[in-house]
This record gives sequence, C-alpha cells and structure tokens, in this order.
Amino acid sequence: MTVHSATTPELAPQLLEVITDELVRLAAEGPSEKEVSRSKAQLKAGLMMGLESSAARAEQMARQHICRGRLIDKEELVAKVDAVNAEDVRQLLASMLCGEPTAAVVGAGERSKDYAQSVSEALRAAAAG
Amino acid sequence: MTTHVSTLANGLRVVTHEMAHLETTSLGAWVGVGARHDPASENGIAHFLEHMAFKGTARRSAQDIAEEIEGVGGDLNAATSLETTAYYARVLKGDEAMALDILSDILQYSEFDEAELQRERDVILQEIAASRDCPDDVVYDLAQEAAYPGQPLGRTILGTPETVETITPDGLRAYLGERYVAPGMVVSAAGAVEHGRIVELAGELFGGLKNVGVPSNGSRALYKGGVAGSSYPFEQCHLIVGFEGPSYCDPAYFAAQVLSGLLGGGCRRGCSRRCAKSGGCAIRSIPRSTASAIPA
Repeated sequence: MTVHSATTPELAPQLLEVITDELVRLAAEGPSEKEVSRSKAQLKAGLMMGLESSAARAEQMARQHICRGRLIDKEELVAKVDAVNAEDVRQLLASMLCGEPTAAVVGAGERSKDYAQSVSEALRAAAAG
Repeated sequence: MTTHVSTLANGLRVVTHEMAHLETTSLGAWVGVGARHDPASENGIAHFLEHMAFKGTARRSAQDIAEEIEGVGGDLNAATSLETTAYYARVLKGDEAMALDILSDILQYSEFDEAELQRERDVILQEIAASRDCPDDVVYDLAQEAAYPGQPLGRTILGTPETVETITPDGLRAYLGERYVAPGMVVSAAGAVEHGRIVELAGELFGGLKNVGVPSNGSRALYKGGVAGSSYPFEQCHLIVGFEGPSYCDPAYFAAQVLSGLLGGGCRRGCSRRCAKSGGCAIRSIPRSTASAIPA
C-alpha cells in the first residue's frame, strides 16, 4: 500500500510533515463516517462504471480468475465494500504503521535520501510511542 | 449477469460476459506470469516477450499482424504487469474469430527473429531511459526495491540495460514454452459475444497449448521495508510512503481499498486543505496488493 505525493522541492519539508501527520492522526482517531461513506461511494461507482466497459470487464474477469481462481459477482463486491466501517480502516492503518515503513524520495537533490530517512524515523517514532 | 466460465480439455479457462446491447467485443488472453516471475539474470524477460509477440509468426509478418487488425478497424495491444501479461483486442461484432486467430497465433507460433529482436531491444532500452527520466517511475521503482530488496517484486518490469542485453531468441522460446501453458492462462471476452462460440474458437485455436502444471513462483514475496532516495535532478520532489498491505485474498483487502480512496481520492479534506495551505501538492494513494495465496 503506498501514498504517492509530489510538490516543489522548496515545499518538500512541509509535504513530508503533512503526510506523516495525516497517517499518524488517521491511525489514532480513525476517519469520520462521512469520509468512509464518500470513499465507499467512489469505490462502488468505479466498480460499476468499470463493469460497463467491455475492455475493463474482460480484464477484470481474467484477473479475478488468475488471482483468485474464480469470478466475483458485483453483488459480492458491493457487499464487501459496504461491510467496511471506520474502525476497520483505522485498525488496518494502525497495524500497517506498526510494521517497517518504506519511504522513497526523488527530486530533492542530495537531500532526497535524508528526507526519506526522516519520514521513516517519524513514522517509526509515532508507532513506538 | 450473463457471465459464463468453461475449462477446455487442456486446462485453458474461457470466461465471457455477454453484453447484449453492444456492437463490439473486447477479448484477449491473459497469462498468469509477469515480471515477478522473471529470473534475476533475465529481469525484463516477461516484458520483452510481450514486445516480441507482435514481431511475426510462421504465418504472419509484423506488418501483416498490424494490417490485419487495422483492416477491420480493430485495436490490438498488450501489457505486462507484475502478476500477469495481457494480450487483447477490441473489434466489431463478427470479427472475434479473426482477433482470436491473431492472438492465438502470436502466443503459440511467434518466430523471434534475431534482427527483429535486436531492433526491439533498442526500443526497450529507450523505454528504460524514458522511465529513468520520469520521477513518478523512479520514485516508485525505488520504493518497490526498498520494500522487497533482492526479490523479484523489488525489481522493475522493464528490466535493466544489463539484463535486457542478455535476452536471446532461444531464451524467449524457452520462457514461452515453460510459462505460457494452458492451465495458467485465461481467454476472456466481454461485449457482443456468445459464450459457446468463444469456447469453440478457443478450443480450435489454443488447442496447441500444453496441459502441464504452471512452474512454481519460487519463494513467496517477503516485505522488508526501508528507505531510498535519488539525487537525479527532477523539477518536482516526489515522496512515496509505503507499508505492507493485505493481499488480494486477505479479508482486509476491501478496507485497504477504502483507506486508499480516503487518503488519495479527495475524501479526506483535512489533508488536501493542509496541502493547499502550504502551497499545493498532489496526493494519490494506491493499494498495491499481490496474489500471495493463489499458486500461479
């Protein structure tokens, strides 16, 4: 699972802070019901829109067969998305934050790797304490 | 939903979705091998093979392949991902037999001419160079390598100039013979199709595929995590933060999808607002899951 963000090199320090803070805060407080329902609505709309494109549908069926060994009908997909609640999302993120993070930075010259290191350390410090 | 699945005698699966109101069909063959199955010394071979599949068979030259599909107004394309390689076409109703004939021909009877291979190697080296100029690609490749160090998932789909140099026609033939086997492939069609007809065509056209077990993936991907950076002078600064996410088959997979939408899909206003305040940035989040539970 990745979060990809980009900005001008001058604003990079603020970006690192915003991303780290948001992840840590979301893992602690959880998302609001409104945020969760908006995300679920977008997911479901995306699924349904995809099902109406023959190219996307052919690919979806093939991938489901290769990755899961069976087709999953749209009712099952929608039911699984509907079943997700704010606490599921919070717990998932909290458990991910307890693991070793990955951080990669480009475009900040020689500081790129230091920035990646500082994001990683901030996330690990937040998870530890 | 008018979805049907059949398995042919050689183990090839045929999946269709009849969309009665459509006048066109999208169809293709998906192979359950991708860049994560590349041997380390031949990193990039899955992608190289995908390119070479359009360069001529015993029956068709590269030009014949392009002209035949263009002659009916169709599209023919392919894509290599970490898990799969896809060869697909879109044609008007009635042209499915022709499209499947081309697909089955290029997947079973490609010739891998030495001169064509040298030309295509240059194309791929250019793709690698273009990718190294693209900050989105570079930051993603660095993150992937830091997340899965020393493992197939940590390497790139395109390969490196060094590994791409080692690929030969014989290497491609051996890879094709070993990996493109019926039980590991799916023919999928959606649109103006009739299941029985696609099954019949697939039986005639893909009957030559071997019914043998798909070779093992080797070891399961092991997420490690870590940090990486590049000092290459890009205009913009890109950051990827990643964690070990649930696989396709994990019950938490759908929570990961919701979380991803929340973080990157404009659902979490606080984050976007704070970014706007500090001068503007773009954020997206992608749940990258892999099929760790299905042997392929």
